[in-house]
Amino acid sequence: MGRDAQPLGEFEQMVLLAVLCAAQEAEEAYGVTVHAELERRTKRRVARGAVYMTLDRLEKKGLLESFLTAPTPERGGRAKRCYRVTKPALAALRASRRALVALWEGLESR
Amino acid sequence: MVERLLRWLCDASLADAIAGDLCEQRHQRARVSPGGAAVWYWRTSLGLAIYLAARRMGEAMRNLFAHGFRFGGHRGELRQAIRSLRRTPWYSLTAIGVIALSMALAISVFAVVDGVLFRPLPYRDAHEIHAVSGVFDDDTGPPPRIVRLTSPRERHAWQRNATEVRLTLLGYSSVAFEDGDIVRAGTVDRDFLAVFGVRLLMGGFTADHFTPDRPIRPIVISHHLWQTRFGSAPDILGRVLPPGFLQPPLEIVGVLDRDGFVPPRPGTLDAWVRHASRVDALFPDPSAADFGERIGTVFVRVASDRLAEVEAALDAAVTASRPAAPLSGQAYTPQQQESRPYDSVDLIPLERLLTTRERPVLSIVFATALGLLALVLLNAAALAAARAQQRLREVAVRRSLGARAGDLLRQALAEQALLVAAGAVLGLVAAPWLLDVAMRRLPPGLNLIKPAAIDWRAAAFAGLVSAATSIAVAALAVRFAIRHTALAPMLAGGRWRPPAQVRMGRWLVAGQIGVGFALILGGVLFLTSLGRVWREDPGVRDRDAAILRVMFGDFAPPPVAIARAAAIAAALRQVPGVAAAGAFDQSLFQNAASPAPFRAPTGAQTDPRPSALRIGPGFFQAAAIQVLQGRLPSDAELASNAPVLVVSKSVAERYWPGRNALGQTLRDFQRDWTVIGVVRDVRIAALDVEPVGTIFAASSGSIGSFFFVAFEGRSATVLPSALAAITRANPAARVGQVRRIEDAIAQSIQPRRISTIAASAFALAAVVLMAVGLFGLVAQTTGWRTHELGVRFALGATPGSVLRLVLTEQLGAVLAGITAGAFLALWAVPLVGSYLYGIGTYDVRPWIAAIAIVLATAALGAFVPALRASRVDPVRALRTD
Repeated sequence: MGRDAQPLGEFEQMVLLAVLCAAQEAEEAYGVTVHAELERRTKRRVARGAVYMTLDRLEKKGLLESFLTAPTPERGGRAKRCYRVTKPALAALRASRRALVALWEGLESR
Repeated sequence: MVERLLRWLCDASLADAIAGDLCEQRHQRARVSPGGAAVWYWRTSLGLAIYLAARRMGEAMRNLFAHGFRFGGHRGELRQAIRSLRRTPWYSLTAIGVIALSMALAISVFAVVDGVLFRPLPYRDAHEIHAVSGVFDDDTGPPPRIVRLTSPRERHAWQRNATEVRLTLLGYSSVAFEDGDIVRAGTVDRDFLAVFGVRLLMGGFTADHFTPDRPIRPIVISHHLWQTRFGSAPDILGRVLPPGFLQPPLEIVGVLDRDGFVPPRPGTLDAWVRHASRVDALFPDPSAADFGERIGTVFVRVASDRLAEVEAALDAAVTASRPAAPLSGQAYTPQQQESRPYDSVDLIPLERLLTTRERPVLSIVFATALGLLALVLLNAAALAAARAQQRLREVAVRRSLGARAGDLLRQALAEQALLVAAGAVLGLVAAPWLLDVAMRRLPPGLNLIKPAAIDWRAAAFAGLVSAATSIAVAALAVRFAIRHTALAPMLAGGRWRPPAQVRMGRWLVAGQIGVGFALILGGVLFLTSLGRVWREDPGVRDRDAAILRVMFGDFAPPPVAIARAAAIAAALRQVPGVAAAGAFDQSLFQNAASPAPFRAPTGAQTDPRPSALRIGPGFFQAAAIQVLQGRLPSDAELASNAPVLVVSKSVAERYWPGRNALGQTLRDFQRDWTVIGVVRDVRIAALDVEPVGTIFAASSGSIGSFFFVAFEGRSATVLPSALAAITRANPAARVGQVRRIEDAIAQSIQPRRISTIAASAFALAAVVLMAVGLFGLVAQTTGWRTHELGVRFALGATPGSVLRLVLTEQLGAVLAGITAGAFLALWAVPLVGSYLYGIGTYDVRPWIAAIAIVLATAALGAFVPALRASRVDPVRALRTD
């Protein structure tokens, strides 16, 4: 694991990966699509509030950056806050993955 | 609304994003199902809000305890809070006093009303226990009352016909011990414990105890008697009490549980013995012509869904058990009248039976206490808000120096926690004293079901509510301060107030005034009502007299009973200081009156049915009942049971409207009686019960229990001689009860007096609280307006104009409060309308009086600080920052 990469909690990793997946699939990663990706891929119910709080916390840590789209009538005239993963986040994700792979070595048969 | 809630729970941009996402998804779902989309939207929003609120609270608690409430060090929040409170002693003492008052009030009121209003009766499935009340359908028998006595033989006759239910008969007697001590006892049958489900500490009745030839009667004693008389002896079972006057030997076979009691109320019955009556009660002769003496109340245990069925079964049992129903047109003999079968029965729930008198009174007490508690809490909230207002500049300075919201909130909470803790301790100390004062004021006969005792749940509830109110208001006020720019309060000093906080202060004043007005109006209405009652004329001598109850050890036949009553009355008249004395057959002013057994004249108004009073020689003179027409019966006529009647004015007007009542006749079961006199109406039931009319007649044999004795001076000096004269005239006589006529009249309106005392005490407390609350608030606001007032004086304002300015500023809130209080009173006052006497709920004068009291209180509370403000030195005021 890179010494400069920030340590990530399990749910934070999942949210970052969900942001990447949502950006890939729907081109817009925001609260709704990130929550949908999480539930679809993990096949378990995820608290909506947890997703929003984690997105906000990751943004404050600098692992996500957000931008606003144009307001729409469907959103009651409010802009959509979309997220994209930053380079430090990608580095942290890669470091976490390397650490997990290293720990799993020799345990595949179990 | 959702967005506003989310903004409260997280920062604005996140709240905006979440609200937008929810809106978007609702829009998408609405294409499929608009209703489902709306349900999803509100459900998801609520779940989100709960989640965010829980996280926020968790963070706040972690923040709070991460820094901790340090007691030591120059930055310790608690030390700082103590210092801050010491700098404002009046505020601190007032806040502590208000919280202590709310605690003590809540605890003591709850202790009194708990047994009647909230706590279930101490029996297994108490709602299933009912009293059986006999009903007479025609106007020759007594009208149904809540309780009608039943004889053991009658009860067994019903049981034979209603085999699916279990009946038990509870009578009342007494048990005498060797040392002369007498305790009240209940007389029971073998089904008593099963029907009531009474808990026993040890022992109990068995079937063997109820065999007829058992020479020693079994007795179960109360826990209190076991402790006080028998020293909680563990070997109490089997102990035999020796025989006494008309009392066989008694064997103690059981002890009741500590909380167990049997109607009518705890503490009045200390023992329960097997029934015994003149007629063999337990194995009645089916061919007997009458039921024997009615001595007790029948109780039955019935599930709610079987009430109608059991009532019908008992009605059928009543019909089937009439051995001596007279043929149509025949009159009952006097003995049959006493044991005449009922026409039907009603089942009265035990809870209603026990608390008929107490429930309305205690409900009023509890409701007014709740109102006062609301006022106290509003007062505490206003004090907390004013305190936060006062510290606005300090909050702004600390924010500027880097204090976080949590730090500021922690400081405010530390202060409130100290105040609440001190108030709670003081309240807990004061509560037993306040409860003792309340219990001393309550009449001894009031049935509270359980002994009034401090309930820690009530204490905890009161403490939590006081704490939550004070802390919530303080937190809100700090939040108001934090939300606005820090610069404004710093630059403006104490002169700047957030508009929302000003509004909150005015709402709190208006709220206090509103609740206070409703309480004061209640107090004025009850006081006015009680005053009207006291102005009523009872119709009998209302001072320097006494009612004596005399008991004999046997049941004499009528001629003997009449003669011995006359002899006692004559002996009383011989006592120096006794002006007159006469016997009569039932107690006066005890909310009970026997209906007259005379048929109303044909075509006359029969409702309400007049009451009857059987009297002996000397009664009219002793009671000083005014004669309006005709004459009173002579001593000879009364002694010989002559068929002459004296009727009261309302009976004469109702039975013979527009005609002369003298010479008219009324018929009872046997013969015609002639009216020889008309007297003033007498309020024989109670001072606040409209007289239904009274028919006075010579005794029919049941006389001898009561004597009306009039004194020439103060009764205290003559009574001992009168009591001795009774014993000399008849050594077998025992005086069981002595009541001064003033006490008897006062006790007849006891529920009304209790309600009035409670309502007026709470009204007085409301006046004090309103005055204190306004005093504190106006003092605070004028304190931080010192500079402004200095400017006004410099510009030519006079002390009078400043005084008017300060007073009129509060006028808006006071008038708003009176308006709100009037609406509250319009809703609440009709609820107590039935308890008022001689006055309507919307009678103008009490309302005007209440408004005047509120305005005067508000003026008083605001006047002193306003006067101080008008006398401030302008030079010093201008230098004030």
